[in-house]
Formats: sequence, structure tokens, C-alpha cells
Amino acid sequence: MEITLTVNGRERFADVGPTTTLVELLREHLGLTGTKVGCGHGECGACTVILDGEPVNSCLVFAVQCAGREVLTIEGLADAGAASDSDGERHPIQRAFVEVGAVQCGYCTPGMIMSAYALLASNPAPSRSEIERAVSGNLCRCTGYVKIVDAIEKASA
Amino acid sequence: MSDRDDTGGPPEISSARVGSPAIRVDADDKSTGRAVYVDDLTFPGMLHAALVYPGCAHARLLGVRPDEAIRTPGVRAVLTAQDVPGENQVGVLRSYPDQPLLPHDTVRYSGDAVAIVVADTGALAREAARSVRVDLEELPGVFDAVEAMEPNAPRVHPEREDDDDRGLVGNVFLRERVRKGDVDAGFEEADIIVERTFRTHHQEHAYLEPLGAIAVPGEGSSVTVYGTMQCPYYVQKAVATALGVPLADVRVIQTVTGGGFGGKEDVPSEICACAAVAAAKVGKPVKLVYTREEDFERSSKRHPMTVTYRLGATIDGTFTAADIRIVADAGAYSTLTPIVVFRATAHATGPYEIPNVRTDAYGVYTNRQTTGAFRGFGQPQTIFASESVVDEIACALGIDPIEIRVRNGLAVGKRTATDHLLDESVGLPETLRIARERSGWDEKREAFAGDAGRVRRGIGVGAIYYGVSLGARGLAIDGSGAHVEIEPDGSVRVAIGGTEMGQGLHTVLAQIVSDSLGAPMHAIHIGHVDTSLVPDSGPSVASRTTLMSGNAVLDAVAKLRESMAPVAADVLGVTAEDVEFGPGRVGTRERSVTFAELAAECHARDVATVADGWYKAPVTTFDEDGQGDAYAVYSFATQVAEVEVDTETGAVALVRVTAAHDVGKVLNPVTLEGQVQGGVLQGAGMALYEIMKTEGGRIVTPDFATYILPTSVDVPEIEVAFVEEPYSKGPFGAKGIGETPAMPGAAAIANAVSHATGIRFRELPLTAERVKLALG
Ligand code: FES
Ligand code: FES
Repeated sequence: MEITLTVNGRERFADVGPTTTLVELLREHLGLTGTKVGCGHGECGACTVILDGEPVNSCLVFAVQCAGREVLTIEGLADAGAASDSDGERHPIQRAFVEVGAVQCGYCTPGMIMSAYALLASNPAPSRSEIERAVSGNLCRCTGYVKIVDAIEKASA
Repeated sequence: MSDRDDTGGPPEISSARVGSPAIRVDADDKSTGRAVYVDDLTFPGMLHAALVYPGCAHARLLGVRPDEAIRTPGVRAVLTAQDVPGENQVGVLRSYPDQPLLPHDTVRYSGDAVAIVVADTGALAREAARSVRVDLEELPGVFDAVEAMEPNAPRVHPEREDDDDRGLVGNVFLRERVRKGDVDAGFEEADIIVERTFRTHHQEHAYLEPLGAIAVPGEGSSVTVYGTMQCPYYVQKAVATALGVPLADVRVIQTVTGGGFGGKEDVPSEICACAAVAAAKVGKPVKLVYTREEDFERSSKRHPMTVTYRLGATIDGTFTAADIRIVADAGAYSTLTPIVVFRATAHATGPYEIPNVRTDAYGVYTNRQTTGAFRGFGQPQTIFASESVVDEIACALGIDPIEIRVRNGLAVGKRTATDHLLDESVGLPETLRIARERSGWDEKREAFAGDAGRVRRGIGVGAIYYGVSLGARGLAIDGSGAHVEIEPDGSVRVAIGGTEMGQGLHTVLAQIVSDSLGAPMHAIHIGHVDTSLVPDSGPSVASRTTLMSGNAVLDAVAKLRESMAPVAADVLGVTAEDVEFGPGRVGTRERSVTFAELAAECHARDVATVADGWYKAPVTTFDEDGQGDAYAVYSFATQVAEVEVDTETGAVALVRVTAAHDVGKVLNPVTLEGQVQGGVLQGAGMALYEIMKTEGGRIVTPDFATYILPTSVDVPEIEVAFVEEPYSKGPFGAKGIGETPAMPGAAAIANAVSHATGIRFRELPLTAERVKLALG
């Protein structure tokens, strides 16, 4: 079935099946491969995107449920809230992840950053433990999370 | 958080000298979603593959009936053992040819896939794979290594002939030993002897990116394979073997790799060979990516080990003898077990000088998932045993646990269990000193002992050593190559044989090139491994990659400097000997050119600006009795763990870890610290949370809902400290760090829990149930 939705500020059309998930729509139909799949069952957070302002595991959401709604992915983050569409821009959270050293293999990173974005949108100055709780659904096997929390703290400052 | 104003381009990669913090060269791509992992790649006409599983752990394979699957629209082919055009063998060690790519007569574990289905989409392929009928006659299985050693145990490889002389009987396919001094005499001298048996469990790597591969057929019989992997040269050999084509026809390109930890050492050979065989059959690109559940089934695990450790000491705490027995569960195939068991055997005493040592280790087949490389490579298990017994002896003698480690610990001039006389770069004493000081050990050890309430605190220590690189029993090539090419605009292309899997290799190599060649960091472009660019450089394992690729790059850079220095001298009117290659500029203090200017000048004068580098590790030895300089150099570490145990629930909270690591030389303090923090949490996972449960050999914890990994709320306070005892043959003195952060944790945590509760735990993980049960 055909659906229309807004992805990263642009209206997109897609022809999806009833069981197509949002992450499949993003990755396979729209070529937005920045969103990762680590488990496919809502257990790792690698596929986290923002749906109408809320963080969701896009592997658990059906594409058809997203008709008429707004999706923000890692590719659109730099421009989030901005009018221009200039390439090469970075969101403060992205900059913080790079500068603090919160990225290792990088596979968890897009999902982690989207969870951080959702947190800071609702709580601009979170405590360390609030940050830890907010990303506790995003698994990272490389970093031990310390620098990830550091980066989110830095971006919130 | 302000939004628009702070937004800007990517953080600039400024040049960072070796030893100073450098921003990762790949962090921007990874944090913007631009980094291309294998599943992000697609090729025109690409088809998708899925594997067919047997559904049981041990069975005679009578036949595979794909008829229904093949009739499904969109299904292009179903391949079985007969369709493997070359040799149907995939194990990495050619001396143990026990693992078919696709089994043809016997299924030996539940992940032993018997067929490959190729279809238009991944979903279709997986659905069709489920409809393939597999005719099996189930056989009794054996799921525990100690049971598998019993004379009447079901045999996993009945085709193997017993070798009574070497004690290789039944499921025991491997023995290693160390014989040093006179163990009986050593125990005679002892005033105290402690003997205990310990058990460890399967641990899953759980790298976040599942295994995946794409094979693209090329001209003639050639094929290009893309995949997530640590060891592209293993993959090249495995694909050539399975296809029956020359190595030169197989090009392997590593994609951005989402974590490895050892789990992507040999295992990618299987998935890549499956994709390649399928692609050869259908003549189109074929992608095969595992689901997380498949990854659990098909990837290797940390070996479960049963370790019996007997240690003798005199009244003043001097160790006199150790007698150690290690039984390692290899799972259904040998894979890397011979190398893992070699390492476990060589290091089994822990980092102590013990004059008399007897170690016997056994590699045993079971009908379980295969076990192989995992950060620490067989050592975290034996360390749990040795460090627990060392602690017990210290406590029994009334000696402080760190003190007894200092007294017996390795230092320059001391000898390891393999009788290796250490002559340089031994940072153990310093890591013990720093860990003691920074953790507040002395005060806490005393203060916590007084706890009597519901929550009891404890502090414990673990010390380790780790032979860097492959060592004497390594069977892969212990050399590494590099190719460095300077473009006319001064940008530098670096091709290496070692893999970036998240650890930060590309960044430290860029620092090394920048520092030694004079090119600014942002001008240096380091690519993922492409086997067509650099010769076989061995595996990226064993904490060897910075050392090996770093030295190979330095070798190439030395050649470039030699050809470029006269040009700089001529341009500047100085002598070539006085020309220095500093960061960004080349020349003398008074007169210099930018690196880009020099590059342009060299090109204008037809001076070659390309060079290959090679580094070969020193030769090491390990004789029949396990004696020799088993590894060229060792990394050392001490970790101190602080816990709080809730005596009502048994729950153990890890509060603080102090990690002191001797790395030879810190190349990039930021990435190094990150590697240690991550390793500390993996050690905590092994100690406290992670357990893979099986029933009849089938995994019943095949996902992250049931296999519990530490999350952001489980992170202790982690203090990382580095010791720099330079290694004379390392790049800038560096040794290796990959493995050691994950090694001492389980032992330190178990010792801390024992300090808190007075109870010694000899089986991991220390789940609340287990602790509660012991507390009564
Ligand atoms: S892939 Fe969606 S939560 Fe893991
Ligand atoms: S950086 Fe590798 S999983 Fe987080």
C-alpha cells in the first residue's frame, strides 16, 4: 500500500507491505542506511529514530503506522529545527560524540545519538543518572558507556 | 542546549602528535550515519541468501529436500554440500580439517547449517529456508567438556582416530603442557597448599553489528567479497578453498566493522565462503546477513573452562609450585581452540614467577556452539582460577593480596612459567602500585572488612599478563604490510593489512604517519583492508595490530623520507641529513617547506613518492614441555574492583573499578581510555550478568532480552591509569591493549565479592541467585 510521511523534513512516498517495518522503509525503500539494525526485536536501540517527537525502535514500528507522521533520523539530525538544508552541518550532540571520543565501532552511535536528542528535547539539562537512564535501552558493546554519557552531558551544557 | 548557533561543520581533525589526544578519523562518518557497514551496501542485481538449520545438535544427516522451497517464486537456488565447488572445509587451522562449510553426513551442533537458499529478497530467502526439509536421524549429544572426556561419552567426531601415545582419545583432540622445574619438590617446600576447581561459562561477543557478507562475482572465476571482519586474509583463504580457485582470484574488502572482540576473527570465513559459493552458483552478487539469533548460533563464544588450580607457598608468601589442569570446551569443531589453549596454557600461572610448574590442558569436542577468540583469548578463565587461589593463600597467610602479588609478580630479570627471562618492558609492579594507590586499597580493605549490615562492601584485585601478538604456536603469518602513497597535493593514502574494528587503529596510524612523515593528520587517508593492496598481514588479533601495522607503516615512511629528504635539502639549500619531518612541515628549524609543497616538488622531479613497508615479529619458541620465550613481549594490567553485596537479595553492585594498564607507550590517550572502559564493562558482564543457557545444545537465551548485557545504568565509576614501560621494538615503544582491559575484571570482582561476604565463588557469573544461595 502507498503511504506518505515526512522524513527529515521532506515529504516521502513509499509502497510498503503490511508487515514492512519503519526501519525497512528507511533503509531499503528510502536508502537511509544511517539507522542500524542490531537485533530486529526492540532489544538493542540501534534502530532508534524520532517519530512525532518521540524516540522509537524503528524495527518495532510498522511502516503503515507512520503514514502522515513525521520521522527524524540520524541523516536529518543536523538540520533538525533549522530551515536550511546545507550539507556538512553537525548537530551539537554529534559534535560532542566526536570530540569526547564516544564513538568506537560506531554501530550503536546513530541510535544512541537519537535517544540523546529525544532526551535533550524534553530535558535540556539532565543529570548524569537521567542520561544513563535515557540511553539504557541503547546497547553499546565497545565503550562501556562512560564517554557516551560524557558526550551527552557536554551537548546539554 | 542551544540549537542553531552551535551547529557547524565536522569537528576539525587537528594534527595530534603521538601521545596526545586525537579525534578519531572515522568518528564524523559514524556519527552522521555515513559510515558504510556491510548491510548498508547493495549491488545491481544483488540476491539474498539464508541458511537452513538442522533444528537439533547432533544427528546423522540423511538428506536435504529443497523441492518445496525451490518452487517458491523468487527463490533462485538451494545449495547443499555437493554444491561446494572446491574443498568443503572452512576451519582456519589447516592442520585440523574437521569443519565442513556445509555438513554432508553429520550435524554436530545446532548452528551447523546444512544448506543455503538464494532468493530475491532476504525475507523470501529466510522463509524459503524454513520450508526446506532436512532428514535427520538424531544422535545422543554431549554438551559438557568434562562429561565429553568420559570413555562412554558420545563422540562428536567418530571419524577421528585415537592417538593413544599423545593422549588424544575420544573427544579429546588437543593437549598442551608446561613442565618447569620439579613440581613435587616445590610442593614439599610449601607451608601451605590450596587446591580448588573453577568453572566458567560461554560468553557471547555481542558486537552490535551482526555478521554479514556480500560476494560479487567478477571476470572468470574471480570474486570480490565484502564483509564485517577482523581477518580479511583468513577470509581470502577460506573463499579460495571453498571455490577451488587461486588466492589471486579472491579479493576481500573489509567494510566498516561494528565491533569484533575476537568474534570476527575466524567466523567471518564461514559466512563469506557461504556467500561466495552461492554467488558463484547464481552468477550474481549475493548478500548474507545473520539475524541476531543466527549470530548467537553461528558465532564463536568464550570457551567454558574447568580449571583445577593447586598452588603452594611458603609462610612468607613465596610461591613454590603450581599444578594446573585446564579443560576447554571447544564445541563441535576445533576452530581456534588449539591457539586459545596454547595461550591459556602458557599464561596459566598468572603473572608470577613460580619455579616449579606443571600445566596440562585439554581441548575437548562437544555438541555445543564453537568457541574461539574472545578478548583475553582463553586467559580470563584461567585468571579467575589463579587470581582466586592467590587471594585465598594471601588471606590464609595474613598477607595483603596486593602485597603477595608484588612479592611474586613478574619483573625485569624474572622468569615466566615458560622460563622466559624477561629483559624489558615489564610494567606489572607499577600497575600494582598505581592500582593500590588510586583505588584507596589500604583504607578500604580495612574499612570494608568491618561491614556487618545488610549491604556489605568488598574490594578485590586481579593482575594479569598477556603475550602480545601470535606467539610461538601461532599458525598465521606473523608479519604485516603497509603501502603508503603520496599524491602531488600532499594527501597521503595509506593501505594496511590490519583491520579497524572500532578500536581506533586508523586514528593512531594517522598519528604515527603524521608524526613521522610530516603530513598533517587531515591529509592522511587510511582505508579499510583490501587484500589486493597489501600482502597477507596475518590476523588483527592478539593485541598485535598497532604494533604490527604501526611498524609496517614506519618502515614505509622511512623509505619515503629517504627519497624525499634530498629534494627538501635541495629546495632549502641545507644538507639532507639535517632535514627533519615534523608535523606539517619538513626541513630545519630555520628553513622549511610545507609537506604539500615538498610532495609537489617530488612529483615535479619524478621522485617516487610511494613505498611499501613490512614488519616481521621476532621468532619465539615453545617446546614440547612448554618452555621457551613464548611471546616476544607482554602487556600487564592490574584492576581493583569495589562491590556492594546486598545480603538479602544476593545482588552484587559494581561500584568502582581502578584499571592500571602497562601499554608500553600511550599513542592516543582518548581512544585508549575508551578501549579500557569498554573492556572493564565486558569483564563485568562475564563476572555478573552474562550467561548463555542451552537445552540439548540449543541456545535458549538467543537474544538481548534473555542474554543480559551490561547497560548504561550498570556502569561503575572507572578510573583508568596508564603505565609506559616502552618496548624497544614497538612503534614509539607501544605494545598492545586490545585484550587486557577485559581480562582481570572477573577475577577482581569475584575477589571483591569474597572480601564482602567471606565466601569464595568458584563458578561464574555471580548472579543474585547464585550469591543468595551461597549466603544461605
Ligand atoms: S534493531 Fe531495533 S532495537 Fe535492535
Ligand atoms: S561503539 Fe561499538 S557498539 Fe557502541
